Amino acid sequence: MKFLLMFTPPFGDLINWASVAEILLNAISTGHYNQVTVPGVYAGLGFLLLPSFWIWTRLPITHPPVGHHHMLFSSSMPVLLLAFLLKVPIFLADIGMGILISNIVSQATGSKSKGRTAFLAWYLNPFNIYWINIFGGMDTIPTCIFMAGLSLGTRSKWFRSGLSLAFAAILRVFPLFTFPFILLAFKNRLSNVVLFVIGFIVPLALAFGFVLSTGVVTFTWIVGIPSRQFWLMDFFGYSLTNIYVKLTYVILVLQFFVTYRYWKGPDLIPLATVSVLALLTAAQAYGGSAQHFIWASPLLTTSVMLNRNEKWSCILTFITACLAPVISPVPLPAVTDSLTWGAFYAAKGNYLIRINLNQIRKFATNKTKTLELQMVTNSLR
Amino acid sequence: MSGRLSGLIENQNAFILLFAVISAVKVVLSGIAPASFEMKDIVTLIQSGNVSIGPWIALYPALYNHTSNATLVAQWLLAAPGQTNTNLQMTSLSVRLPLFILDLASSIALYYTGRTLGSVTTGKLTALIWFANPYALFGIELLGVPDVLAVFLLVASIAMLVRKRPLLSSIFLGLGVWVKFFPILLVPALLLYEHRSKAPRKNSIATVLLSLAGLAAYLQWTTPSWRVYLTAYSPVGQPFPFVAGETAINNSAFVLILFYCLMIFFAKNTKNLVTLLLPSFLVYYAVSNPSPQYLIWVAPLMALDVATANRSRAWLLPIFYGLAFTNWFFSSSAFLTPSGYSLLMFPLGGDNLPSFSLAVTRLLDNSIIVNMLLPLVSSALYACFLAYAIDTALTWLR
Repeated sequence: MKFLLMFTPPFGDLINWASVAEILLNAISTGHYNQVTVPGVYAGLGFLLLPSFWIWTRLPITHPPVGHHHMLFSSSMPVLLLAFLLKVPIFLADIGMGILISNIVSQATGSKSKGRTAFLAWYLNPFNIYWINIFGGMDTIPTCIFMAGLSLGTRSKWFRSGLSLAFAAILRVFPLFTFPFILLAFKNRLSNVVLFVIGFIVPLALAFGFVLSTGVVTFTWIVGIPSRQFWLMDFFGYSLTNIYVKLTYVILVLQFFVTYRYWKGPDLIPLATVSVLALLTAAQAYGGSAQHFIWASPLLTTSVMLNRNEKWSCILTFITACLAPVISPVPLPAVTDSLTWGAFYAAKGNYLIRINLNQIRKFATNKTKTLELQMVTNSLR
Repeated sequence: MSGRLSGLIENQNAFILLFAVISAVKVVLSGIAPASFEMKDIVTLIQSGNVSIGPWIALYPALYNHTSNATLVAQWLLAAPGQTNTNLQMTSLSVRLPLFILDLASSIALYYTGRTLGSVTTGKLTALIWFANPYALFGIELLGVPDVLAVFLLVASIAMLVRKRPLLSSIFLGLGVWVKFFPILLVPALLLYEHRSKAPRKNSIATVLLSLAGLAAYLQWTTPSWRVYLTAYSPVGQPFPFVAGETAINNSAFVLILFYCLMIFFAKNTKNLVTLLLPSFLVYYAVSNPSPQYLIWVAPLMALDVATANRSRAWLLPIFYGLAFTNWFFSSSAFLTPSGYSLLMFPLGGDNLPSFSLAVTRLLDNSIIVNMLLPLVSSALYACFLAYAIDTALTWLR
């Protein structure tokens, strides 16, 4: 069924991704690598789409010009084939993500059946089906790499974990926000921290070097993105008491404080989950709501499989996500917009609180158990 | 490290020597640091003559007396740091010396408060945390604003309260409100503390009446434009959004009132004065837009908190003031003064700037700093207000 859904007419960003792949293919075939500056930060994902696009150009069909004008909601066979081919990498990432979630859950619970349930919870989630197989959300690829990094981390392969997170950060910026949180998972084991940080920094440094090698213009282009694309500032959230006090930063710093101060020996998955969820709860409706919720989707799936008392919070979050404007595949009357947005943000906030309470209770339980143990030990003396 | 510090504090001679060294640094800097824009504002206010001037003006006899010698004051306002003119250095010192004395007096009052709440060592630690705080040096001596007068009156009020002198405490509180308004934010917490510690009702009545008297006196000296003084402009420059609110429901008033209600509900068993007072200021900061020097108000309470209530929060204090300092640095163009120099005493304007100054000016103009780093620092400071308030308020539940 998922395979068939990949043949839906393209809309949204999928056509933009086709354009990026076309530019990069031209750059490679003509040897004019300075064209890489045109897609800028989108070039990383564009390279991953090159094989799909190249195959499409080799098909014995009439190739329409790439662009919204000719392709938006077009049902012609060449366009449907392009949409299908571009979705193949994310189709693979979708399966890969399911396997990774399954592995993490199996390892943490010691139960293969729970791992299989986790796979299904991811793979059959209507939200994921819509955004991956119909819309063609390319963020699935960096999210899959990010989850691979977490999976490696849960198996204490910290260098490779750092590498994966860095590669994900090159493709999409969100793993950078999780970095300080993940450092709290090391429980004072310095050698692991060093391995992780080296793994994280090396690819980023190489990517930075590559950007500079294409000319300072590329770097300036990337730095200037926020001033050109104002919607990116939506990720910072609302200004609070003055224009410099941004809700996203405030929530992230507060979450970091709560995690550091009140969580006891936190694990990798809850750490990554709260960091991404805090980011998406504070970001304004445009920036943090549409396909970007796919960043949090595998984390929420993993988290709920590890903590069943998050079940209703998780269900509520995904239901409200599916109903939220822009995200909802079925357009709802405009008068309901504020209600559905509000419900979605409230659900994310509720989930964030839920995870925090779980972790703080764990701390309280550990503390109580220690006290009880001491009392028992004392009474035996 | 903590062993060395406690050794230093416990050794009477070493402690006094340390205080003397810090005092010497403060006095020397008071003599050579350039005048700030805030000091220029004070001079302008005095010279204008027809604007309400608060009781805090008593702190600046040097400026008052120098109005006859306007040339010297004008020269001092524009003088570069470290200039060799002794007259200018003495002018600078004479303007800042009363502020230093109040700074020192506050640390003495904190010592006695800490000693009463804990031990002699606690008292010394409290005084040291306040007196050695570089942020307080910037906000008091170098910036030259009169907040330290109200801070001293507040600390004296707390000292009197813990030493069971409620009437004197209320008098100092009322005086503090008269000078700078902000101590009135602590009245609900003080009343709650008096109630919890089963103090006679007359103490609470005295606190309320004298605070109201202080408020009336404050409004009197800011009349006829008290509303503007409280909001857009004042010699103490305090934007109080809950007074300035233009909409039917003012967010700041709403949050502060909610906070006081929560405090009454949840702080039922708390008899710790500091943990009641401290969050009141922090919540106020979080719902207002405080000028950098306002963060000095909370410094004595933080010192008392770390020394007497909870050492495990000590790490938050340097983070709080580190963020506040960085935020202040960027938002004030590296502490620019009328002389064209920074309060950190390097040039920021004019020809032939040294490479360091050029680097700083480029840094201030950098779009990444303005668009990314400054919001991060400001937001982290804001989060720090809330984090500190939450951590302190959680002790109510124990």
